[in-house]
Amino acid sequence: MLEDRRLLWRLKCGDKDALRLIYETYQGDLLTLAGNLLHDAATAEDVVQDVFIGLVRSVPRLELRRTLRAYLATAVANRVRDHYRRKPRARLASLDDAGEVPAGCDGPVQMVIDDEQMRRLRSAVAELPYEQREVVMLRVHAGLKFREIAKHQNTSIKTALSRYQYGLDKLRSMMDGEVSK
Amino acid sequence: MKTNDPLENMLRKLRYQAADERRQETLAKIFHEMDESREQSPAPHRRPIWRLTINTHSGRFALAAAVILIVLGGITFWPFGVGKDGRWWLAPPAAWGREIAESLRKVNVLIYREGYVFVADYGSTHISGNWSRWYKAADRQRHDTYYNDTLVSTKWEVPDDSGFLFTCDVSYELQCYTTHTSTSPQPVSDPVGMLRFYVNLLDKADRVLNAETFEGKECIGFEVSAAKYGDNPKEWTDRIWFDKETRLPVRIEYHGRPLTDHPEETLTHVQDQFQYASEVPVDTFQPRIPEGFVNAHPDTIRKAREREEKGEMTYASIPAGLKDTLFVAFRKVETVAYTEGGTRFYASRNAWRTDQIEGNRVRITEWCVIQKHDNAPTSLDFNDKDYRQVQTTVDYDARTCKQVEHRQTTWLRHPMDHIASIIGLIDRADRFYESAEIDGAACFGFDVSAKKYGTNPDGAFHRVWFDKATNLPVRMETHWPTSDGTGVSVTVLEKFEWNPVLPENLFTPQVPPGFTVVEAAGK
Repeated sequence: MLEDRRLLWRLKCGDKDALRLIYETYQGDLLTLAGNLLHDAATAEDVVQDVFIGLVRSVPRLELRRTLRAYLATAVANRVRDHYRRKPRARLASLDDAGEVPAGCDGPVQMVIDDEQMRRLRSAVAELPYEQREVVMLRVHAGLKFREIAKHQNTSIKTALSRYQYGLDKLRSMMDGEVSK
Repeated sequence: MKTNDPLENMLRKLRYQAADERRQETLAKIFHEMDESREQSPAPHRRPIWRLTINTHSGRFALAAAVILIVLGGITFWPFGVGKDGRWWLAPPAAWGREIAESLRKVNVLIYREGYVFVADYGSTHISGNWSRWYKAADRQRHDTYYNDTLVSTKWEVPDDSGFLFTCDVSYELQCYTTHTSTSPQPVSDPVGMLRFYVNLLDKADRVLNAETFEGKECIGFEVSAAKYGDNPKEWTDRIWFDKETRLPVRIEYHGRPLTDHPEETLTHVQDQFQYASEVPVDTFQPRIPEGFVNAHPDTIRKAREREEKGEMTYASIPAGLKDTLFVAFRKVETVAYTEGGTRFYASRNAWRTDQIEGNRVRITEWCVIQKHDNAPTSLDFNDKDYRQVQTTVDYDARTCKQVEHRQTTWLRHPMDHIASIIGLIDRADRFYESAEIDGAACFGFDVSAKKYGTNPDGAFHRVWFDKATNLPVRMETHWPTSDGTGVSVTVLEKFEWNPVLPENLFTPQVPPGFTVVEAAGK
């Protein structure tokens, strides 16, 4: 948080190095968030690029009242929503083309099992109702607090919490009980 | 947000990663956007206060009022002041600002220290043990990080033969290093750009500060609201101090930067020990990896060491959002009373009191009152003028009184800071109790091993119980093995009263007549 504020201040002063640091710090998580919301790696990269361009444009009047991570993650979520509004049918495109990073594995057999599990989980995530998927991803990949998610979704904290729990429960059932609580 | 839920852990592994070329492409685009934006928007410091004043109705009115004040009250402050008797800072900043900017042209390497002062929820200030030394040149930089007097790490960012940025990060603490070379030319911040920015900003300064001596140099300071150069909250203020003799910046302070959503928690950054060099020893910017250091990220080494030293940690599944809920309740607390052993504590935001009770009588009372002077500068050299604690101890048996003034909070920590730090461990809990009855109240609670936050012995842990109705603690236990290993000592904070109405004079030290003052030394 401290580093965020300093970086933003430096950015306001026109420090390109600060912009590079902000980008390098957050682009990975933001791309993961966008990728999991869109299931389309190329569009996710465009979204993240747009968010950083938006950040640069809004910097002079930007008043950061939360973490920079939360600010950027919300911006990503907003842009993904815009994307769906423009292209409502695009959401399940090129699922297999996504440039996911494989999870850390212990050995070849485990790698195969994990890979299969992750594939199924990815498909299950894509099947979640968008509101639930958004809550789950904002919480897991952006670390947003439920009140921040609630504000973003213009709903109550209780609803955001419920969506999160319903989302996880649905994922568990779609994974056929492979992932227990 | 660490949990033991396997599903959440799997979800965390659903990562996406952009190709290096795509990242560089995006970076180039946003740099381009930044250049475009800066060309299109007016420079943040181009409009002198004079023009700003006379071009608006309210400005003209304020100007008239200011002239009256100057005539009647004799205020000397630019743009009206005149640089007499060597007091150059009373002259219009445009003139001497140019001089300073000119002298900065000769600077090729800027070296400075950067440290932090944390201002906590309850008003206490904490000087961070972590600080940095920066070495900045036009195309390269080096960043040394210290913890107190120990050099912890060094990061070099230098151009390689192809002009790409080579980054080398060495952790002396963990004896490891990482290196990385960008695949396209990368910018490094202009070393004196920041200082030039400030000098140019001075025609927007809110006030001239009282003269101070820093690093043996007599300095004159200016305070400017951060809102003057960006869309920043008015609570953010910056202070820059110039050497009266050389006119070069000696110290820059950034006050009131928020840390969390809670407005009382802020951070002050201080940059000082500036050195303006035309050149530095060649090896300053030469990455050096000590022999035997391994090529690995510090986090990897740290986690491996922690596993080795502390064994595998267990993490309980904590209800989502619970920590946030607890802190929402905690931050609404204005006053508290509780008992620890034979001592009764009372606390408010800026004061606390302890009564040591024996039988039916109070044996010793201690008051601790925080006093702050918000307009004074904060120093990293432990002469913090923003803050002092006055500790008064009255011993009714010995009929003595002792008063000590503390300038730093390492001596006395606000009890609420202590309670908050334990509550904050909930997301690292070993075990979560969903339901129990404690002192007649329906509660939930958690255990957390003390190994989770430091090098503490096996078996040391905290157990905290919260009232389900209020989300505030009803009982806090600390279990600690005795040093001889034969037993466990347990301290208990209990009989909590949250937000009680306390007598007005409870935090005013009261010394009975005839008591002897035994000591009045400051720390």
